[in-house]
Amino acid sequence: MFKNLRIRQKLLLSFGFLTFLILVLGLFMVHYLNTIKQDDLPLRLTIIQAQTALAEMRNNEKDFLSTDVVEYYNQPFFKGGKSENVDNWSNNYKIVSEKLIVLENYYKNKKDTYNVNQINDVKTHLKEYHDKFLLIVTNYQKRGFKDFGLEGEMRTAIHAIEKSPLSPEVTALMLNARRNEKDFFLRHDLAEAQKFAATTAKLKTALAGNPQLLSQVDTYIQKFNQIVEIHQVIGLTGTTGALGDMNTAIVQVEPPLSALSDAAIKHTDNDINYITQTILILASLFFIIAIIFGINISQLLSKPLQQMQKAAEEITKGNLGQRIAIDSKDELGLLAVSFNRMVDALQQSRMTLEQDVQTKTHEISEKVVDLENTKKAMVNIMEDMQTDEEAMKEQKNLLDTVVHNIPLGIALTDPGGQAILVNEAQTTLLGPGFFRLRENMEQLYKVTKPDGSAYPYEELTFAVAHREGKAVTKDDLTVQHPDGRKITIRSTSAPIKNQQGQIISIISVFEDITKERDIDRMKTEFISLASHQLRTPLSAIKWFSEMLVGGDAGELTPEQKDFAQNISDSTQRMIDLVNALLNVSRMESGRIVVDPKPTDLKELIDTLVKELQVKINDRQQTLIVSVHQDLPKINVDAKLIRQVYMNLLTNAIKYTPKGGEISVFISKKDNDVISQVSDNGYGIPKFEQTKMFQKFFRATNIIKIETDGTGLGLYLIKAIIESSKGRLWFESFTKEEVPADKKAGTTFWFSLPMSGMEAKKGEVTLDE
Amino acid sequence: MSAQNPTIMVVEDETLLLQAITKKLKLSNMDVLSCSSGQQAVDYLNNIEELPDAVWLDYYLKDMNGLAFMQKLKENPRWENIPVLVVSNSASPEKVSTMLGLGAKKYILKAEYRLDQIIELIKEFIKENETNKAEPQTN
Repeated sequence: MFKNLRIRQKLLLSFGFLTFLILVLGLFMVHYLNTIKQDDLPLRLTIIQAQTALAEMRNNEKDFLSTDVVEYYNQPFFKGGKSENVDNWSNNYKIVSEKLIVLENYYKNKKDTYNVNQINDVKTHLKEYHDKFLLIVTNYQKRGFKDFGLEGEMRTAIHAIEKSPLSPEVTALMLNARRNEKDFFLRHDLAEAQKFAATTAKLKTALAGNPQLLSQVDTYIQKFNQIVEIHQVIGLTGTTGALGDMNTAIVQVEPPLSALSDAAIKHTDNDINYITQTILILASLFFIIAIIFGINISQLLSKPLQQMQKAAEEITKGNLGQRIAIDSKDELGLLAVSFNRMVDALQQSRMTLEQDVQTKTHEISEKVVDLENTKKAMVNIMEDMQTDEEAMKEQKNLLDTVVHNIPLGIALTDPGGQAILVNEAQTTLLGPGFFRLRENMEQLYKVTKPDGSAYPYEELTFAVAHREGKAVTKDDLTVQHPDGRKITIRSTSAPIKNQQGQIISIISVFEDITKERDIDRMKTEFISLASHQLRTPLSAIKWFSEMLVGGDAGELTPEQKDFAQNISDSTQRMIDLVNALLNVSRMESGRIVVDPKPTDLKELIDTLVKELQVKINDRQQTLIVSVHQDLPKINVDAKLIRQVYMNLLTNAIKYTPKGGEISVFISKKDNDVISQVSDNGYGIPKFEQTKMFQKFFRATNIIKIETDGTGLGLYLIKAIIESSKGRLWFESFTKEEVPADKKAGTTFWFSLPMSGMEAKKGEVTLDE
Repeated sequence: MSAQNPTIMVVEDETLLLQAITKKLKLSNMDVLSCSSGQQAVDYLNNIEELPDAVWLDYYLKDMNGLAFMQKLKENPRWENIPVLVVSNSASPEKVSTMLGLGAKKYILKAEYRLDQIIELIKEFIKENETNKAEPQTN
């Protein structure tokens, strides 16, 4: 039952039970306290009241005896009035009597016979006391004082005697009698009374003849004797007479009352002790019960929790087989069930996890090896770095020295063209403050284009590099130094980008290419001059052989004519070779003039075809030309492009057997004009195709068929096309290598941007 | 003048070439004034009564270049209308444009042309020049 309760219910039940026990304890205490309140306290009050009243009576008694009786001057009491002390005494007597009755009834109810008897004894003695006191009071009143009572009557008789004329004998006897009288009152000694009687007897004898005085003496004697009697009844010594009896009686009243009081006090004490003891015992009992409950409840909670904790620890250690056996239906029982379910799930997931972990562990161990190696490498690097720190400083100095002493001008500028770093060579080459002046090119050194015109800021390489985001090289920066020298500078600028691709700075290198230029010019001039010089003898041979063949020197024999013709042909080849060499040299020097003009490509081709028609006819070849209908005029240097078509077509004619077909197609594609020149000729062997555009290359298959050729044509074409921002490519198959879906022969394509060529002010053209 | 053979002045400092040219022109029924230097040509022009019908001028001469010769020619009003064919080893655009600007009829590269081709050109110039002379008033 209890097991099946929820923890909350268990706790409520336990605390309820404990509360009930405490309630019982409280009720018990209330009961006992009531007993004390209703029995013990009134009893003790009654006794105390009785004792108090009794004590008051004694006080009244003493007051009466000491004040009313002893200090009797002018006391109304003796004049027949009342005594307050006696009245109070009487009231107190009533109180004591009433209280005694109450006590008697109480003990009677308690069936306490002993105390009932005690009370009765007290009552008897109290009555005795009461009676004796009242007797004393009555006798005192009877005796009187001075002029009142018996004493008053006695003094009246005495005064009558003493006023009469007395013989000296009588007077003396009278004085003796009065002295005896006073001694008795003073000492309460009956011997004095006897002396009085003797004295008065003599007096009476002496007065035998005077009856009047005799009677007075008799009264005197009578009253004195009556007073003596009263004194004896009262017992003025305190031990005899009524006073003695009264004292005896009262002595027997007070102790029993005290004994009763003590008993009552003791009773209350007992009751209180009883309550205290009982409370202590019950409290101890409850404490023990509470502890037992506490232990039970804590075990009820902690035992399953401990079980769970142990189980959890086991699970933590990896023992997933652990389960909790708690069969209670409370929250802990439910928790245990959930716990077990959780462990089931954990075990399940761990099994899968372990498989994962095994594979991952394998991977990790491999990575660990890598990491270890990396770490070793890093440690090595770190060590190297440490040891090389000094070396690095030296290297930095070295680098600084290099940057500042290198004969190349170096400048690092921000995107706005302001200098971040400038080396000495830069300052020497371009003049101080070149970068500071930025847009103002009127500076210490005049920076111009080669023709002397001002160099626009936006055309400077670092401005272009910033604008276009790529490296730019220009060779046309001309600087007029103050000493009169004119220096040509090659400037190269490249943007430096951050990770986001933004240009953060631009590095520029400036190189004095004046000498290079001079040498280059000299070289070109040399080649040019040499070629030109070759042309003179070549022209002589050409013209003389022409005249020989033409019969200008008389008729030749057929053999002579044949020989002269050979000379003429060879000369022509030589002239072609010189021309080609000259063109190559011009292209290479970069000094070639590019002079783009709107050019109709169709017209250009047609003119070319006309020139070549003779050759084509000789070889009985077919030439097909097809140009895109809406092809606009394109801005190109006609001379250069003509050279391209010319070289491609002459190659096609030359390297295609008689009766072959040659075609030219010019089409548009996107922003390009694509030219295609194809033939069904000999083709170029695959293995030689990579060398196609090399200088002086001639394919091994055609060199046997056509001895004529410089090996410079394609090289020149490629140079022209690439300088025009176009592309040149080809496809070629020899008869032996052609695949099934292709035809033997060669096709060249080249593209030209529709935007045309960029103009370039050079120094030479083709075919000078 | 038309009845006579035309006279061609050839200014060429290369003796072999001058020889070839002179031979070919004569074979083509032309009278030839062969000059192996610029100065010689100028002297000829100053001294002869009948001016040549055309001048064959090599650009590079030992004593002067074609430009200087052309200038001398153009300085003299008598000579300025003689058609000049420049036949040179070098034909840079600057030279070509300068010479044509000074009045040369054509500027050709020696090695690119056969002699008979050049003679055809000269004949054309002469013919053209005579046509111009025949009707000066109309211009």
